[in-house]
Amino acid sequence: MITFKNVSKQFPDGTTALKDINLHIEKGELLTLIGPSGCGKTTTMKMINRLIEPSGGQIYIDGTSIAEQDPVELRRSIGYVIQQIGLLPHMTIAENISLIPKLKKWEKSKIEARVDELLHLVGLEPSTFRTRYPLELSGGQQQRVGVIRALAAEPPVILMDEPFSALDPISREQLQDELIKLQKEIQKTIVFVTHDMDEAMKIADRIAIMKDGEILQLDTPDNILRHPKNEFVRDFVGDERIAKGQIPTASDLMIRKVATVKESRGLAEAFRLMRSERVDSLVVTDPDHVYKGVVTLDVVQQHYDDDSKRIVDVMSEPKPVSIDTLYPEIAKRFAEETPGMILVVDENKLEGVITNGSMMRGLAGLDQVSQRKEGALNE
Amino acid sequence: MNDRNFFVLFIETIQGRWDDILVALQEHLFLSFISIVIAILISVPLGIFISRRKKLAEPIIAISAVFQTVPSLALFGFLIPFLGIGSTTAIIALTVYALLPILRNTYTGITSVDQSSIEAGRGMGMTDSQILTKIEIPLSLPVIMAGVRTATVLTIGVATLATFVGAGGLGDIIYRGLTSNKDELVLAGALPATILALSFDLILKLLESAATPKGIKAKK
Repeated sequence: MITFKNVSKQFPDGTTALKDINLHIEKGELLTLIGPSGCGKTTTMKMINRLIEPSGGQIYIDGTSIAEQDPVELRRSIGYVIQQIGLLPHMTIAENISLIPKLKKWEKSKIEARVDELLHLVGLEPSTFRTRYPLELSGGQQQRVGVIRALAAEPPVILMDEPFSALDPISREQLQDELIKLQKEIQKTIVFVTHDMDEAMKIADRIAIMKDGEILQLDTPDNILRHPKNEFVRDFVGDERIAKGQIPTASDLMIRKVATVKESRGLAEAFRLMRSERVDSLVVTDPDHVYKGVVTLDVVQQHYDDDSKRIVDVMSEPKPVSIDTLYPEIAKRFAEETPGMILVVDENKLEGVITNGSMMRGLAGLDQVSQRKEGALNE
Repeated sequence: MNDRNFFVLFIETIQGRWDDILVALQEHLFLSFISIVIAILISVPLGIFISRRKKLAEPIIAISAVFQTVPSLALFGFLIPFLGIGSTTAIIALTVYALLPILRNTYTGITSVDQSSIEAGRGMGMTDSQILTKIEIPLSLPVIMAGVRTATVLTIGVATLATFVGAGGLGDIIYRGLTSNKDELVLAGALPATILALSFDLILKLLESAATPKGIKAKK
């Protein structure tokens, strides 16, 4: 979608803002540019709508060099949101939002419908807000309008220059959440400049960490956390975050000591094992500890009288998760399927199980107890 | 003379010279109005121009400030050798006088428009002239109007000196009163000039308020 090819920038006073930037931004992705002040992140972003011209190199949008396009026309196809919001105080909210559609000579009825649609999108009731003036709105509301103003003419690309950093922490969180939600619906290509790592981690598909006019690392938030490329990135991301704030995986959330049973055993033995271990289900494995399935107390009791049945005949085979599965996915599965537990495997070998309780303890950073003790606690 | 006699004399003077006063008032209005219009036509574009080239701003404002510091009577006298006497000379002198307040307010108004509005406008794809007409001028209009108001009141006052270059106006009546030592006649010229200045001040104040965008007033 957007490609930087050997882009450099020297300012007239001789300072080098950017050194040979190569960057490819995918269609529909939210890429954040982050780094300490003076790292060139804003310069990089402003080159996309030609508010700053590169000294060397080329920038392409959809394969066309932007240097060959009329800057005004180019900017009208790129949404722009700035930290200071920059709503025009002498115009109503509706007038502010419809500014670019009007310059693009949209029909009046189309503009009006678009204004209402956008206000709804960010939870501002059109009948109330259409005729208000920017200074009558709170900072958070103003920036919501700032964001939808950028969306008004349906540009495929949106540039956001630290859009939420001047807001109070609560509004900032809300707007970040709304942006994530919004991005799911609109699927625009967004370039988002920030100096706030938490913000970048939260909203970005990919993060470009910049320093002294160079991109040090460009990767997904997860990979940056797991594999910071150098000391600077590690420091910038924050050691603490790597140690503590890293997204927990199945391995952090599971109980390792699990009551298991071999699949060739009979139901009576399974029943005895459940009683002695005080659990209501057993994980079935083969002698090499390869995961096979699960038997529950219910099915054992149901088939108990039929002594021809073995565990292998009555066990169910719920899908296990891999040991490096991230917490959100596990939480989602609990929420959607409400299983009693989720099995964790590492290349087919049983590693443990995650229950609601073990997930909570894992998230809280507590040591995991055995399944049996947990069972005892539940009694 | 006691006060009562003076008041009676003043009323009689007004009644007796009503036609003269009306003619002088018209001349006065004409001189002031034309000068202000010319001053606006020069100062507003010039103010916008120097707001784009800030290096030029200081010298140009300084030059117009120098004109302002020349005593008004001296300025009229100074122009006579070049332009002779008559309303042209008066209008030029008055225009020069009115330049500074309008120029300075235009410059201040335009340069103090919130840069974030302009950056947002440019970033969204507004052309320079759209930024000027849709953002900068509407937002600086109250300040520019305040400059026009100051200049107008000033000009109406200074226009009483136009009589010395033979351009007429209410100064004629004041001057006649001074030379013939008739205080009532001086007042018959000065009072209309004062009323004129005050009423213009009021009108322009209303205009200034009308020029203030609603969205900005909302905050106050």
